[in-house]
Amino acid sequence: MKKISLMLVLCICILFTPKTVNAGNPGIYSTDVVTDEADLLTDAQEEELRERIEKIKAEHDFEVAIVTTTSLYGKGTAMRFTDDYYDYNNFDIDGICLMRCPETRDLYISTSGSGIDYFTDDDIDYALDEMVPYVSGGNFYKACNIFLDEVESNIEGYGAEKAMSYLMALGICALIGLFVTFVTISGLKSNMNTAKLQTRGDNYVSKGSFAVTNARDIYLYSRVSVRPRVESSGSGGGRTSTHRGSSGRSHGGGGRKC
Amino acid sequence: MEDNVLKYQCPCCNAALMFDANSQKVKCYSCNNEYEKQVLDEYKLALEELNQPGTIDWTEAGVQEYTDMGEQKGYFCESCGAEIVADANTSATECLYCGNPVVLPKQVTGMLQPDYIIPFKIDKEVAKNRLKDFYRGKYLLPKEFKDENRISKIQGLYVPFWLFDCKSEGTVSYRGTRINTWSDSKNIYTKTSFYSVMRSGNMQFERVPVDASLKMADEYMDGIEPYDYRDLRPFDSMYMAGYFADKFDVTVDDTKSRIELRVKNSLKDALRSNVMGYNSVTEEQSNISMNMKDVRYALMPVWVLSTRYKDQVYQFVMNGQTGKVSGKLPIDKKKMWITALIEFFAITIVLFIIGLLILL
Repeated sequence: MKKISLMLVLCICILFTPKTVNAGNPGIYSTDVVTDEADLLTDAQEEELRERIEKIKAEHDFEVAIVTTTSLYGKGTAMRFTDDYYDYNNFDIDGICLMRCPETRDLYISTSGSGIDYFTDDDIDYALDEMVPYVSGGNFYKACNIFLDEVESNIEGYGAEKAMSYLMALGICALIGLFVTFVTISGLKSNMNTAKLQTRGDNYVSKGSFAVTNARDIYLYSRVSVRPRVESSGSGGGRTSTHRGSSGRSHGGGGRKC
Repeated sequence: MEDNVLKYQCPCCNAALMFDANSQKVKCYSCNNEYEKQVLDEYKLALEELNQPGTIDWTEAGVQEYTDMGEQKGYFCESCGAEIVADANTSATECLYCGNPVVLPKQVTGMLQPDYIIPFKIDKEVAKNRLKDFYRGKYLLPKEFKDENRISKIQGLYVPFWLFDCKSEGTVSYRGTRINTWSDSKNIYTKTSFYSVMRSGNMQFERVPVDASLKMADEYMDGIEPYDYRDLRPFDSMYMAGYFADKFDVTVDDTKSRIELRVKNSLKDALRSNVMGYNSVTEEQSNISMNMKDVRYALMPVWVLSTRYKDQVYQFVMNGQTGKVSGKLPIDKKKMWITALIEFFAITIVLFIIGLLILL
């Protein structure tokens, strides 16, 4: 009896133990688009960054958040911290978040919603590569500006790319339309003339009169051609890998230690 | 080395061949192929057969004398010059050949009595329905063609034909290839073997028809073949009652090239179908001889409607025995362009929308 009640208590404990201790907790509570807990920016710099971010939001309806932190607040990884910070502080679904934690030497970018489309893995790698020298050199403000430049250029580039792909799709549809029209009209036209000269007299061959009187098949020579096997090669690039945050939302992203 | 030059040409590149003492084979120093002497002898023999030109012998196919049927009631078209014979109960209101509405009665001479006739089997009502069926689904046909009054102008005409009996024989040579492919871990190998293929054979033809009316376009008449010769009767003017008839104005000599082409092609097709087991077969040379045996003159039943549209004559013809139709119809160009534009835009827009729905 004692054993059974012990098992029961244990089961209840397991059932009610939260899987992620910090689920629902953003780490740092903030709705400010620039939150500088690690104090890497001056007030004036923060203000300038806020203005740029507001401009991006107004022009592209796209949320940008920058956060510096002194701790990952038990989130374990920079990815978990940044995803949760962005999700649980109720930033817009379509957006991007830059995180810097000097204590753990993490620099991380998390994307969400349309941000996942705007930034491929390669785009994030490129932005991080550009920023890392300034971050490790202590100029986080410059790194933030590079980040915002990249945000703008990627949104605009994506728009142009999308417009181009629509145009191309329209072009392909028009080509198919032209081809199908050509085939059907040619069919309708050929249907109009059934008069054809006969070049054969097969209908008038006397039954059983055809006979092969001689047949020769002489082997002359042969040729051998050799070509190397073509190994199939993998293709890459232009891809965005995503993961699911504790909030259940999808994120793209990447980071560096610097 | 000069002594080794043989009187053979390489089947691959036509260069002179030489006997190679080391391999005991005949070698081409131009393309590096080696041949067994026996193979070359056989190849040379076959080529010699082919080099003899094919003959066409018309001596047995003399055209007989035909009885003149004397003056016949008929009509004359001032527009195209056509003269047609009509029996006492038949009256023409327009020219069968050009659709001209002014035709003049005329006593027609020079109609020779044919050997055979195939009587009409399909009456005018059936012919009209077949014509309507022919127009059905022809979306680009101008409206005026479908008019009932126009369709009822269809007329029955006996068209003169020459019927040829002949025998043909000949040889055709081909270059055949067989392809084998295999591979190892690094490469894919393709072996193409070349063969000289020859087939000789013969074939007999009975009553191959060629129309003997100059005004009736050959492609229309060819288009309504074949005729069923089980209904072929010795000529009797009784069969002409209610119909028109045309006298021949194309002589046997004028039709020779057409009949020769048809006979030659049929024999070549039959020989080609006997060449099997190759990946590709290309005809190289042919030598076909023909022996024309007999030529006969016959009248064949044809329903005709000729309509003028924008200064051009469009004809509909139908085999009066089997109901097979042939014809050339005008195209309503305005309708064609409008249809093409609507179709083009509709397909483009629908495809684009479907694409967007799938992608978004």
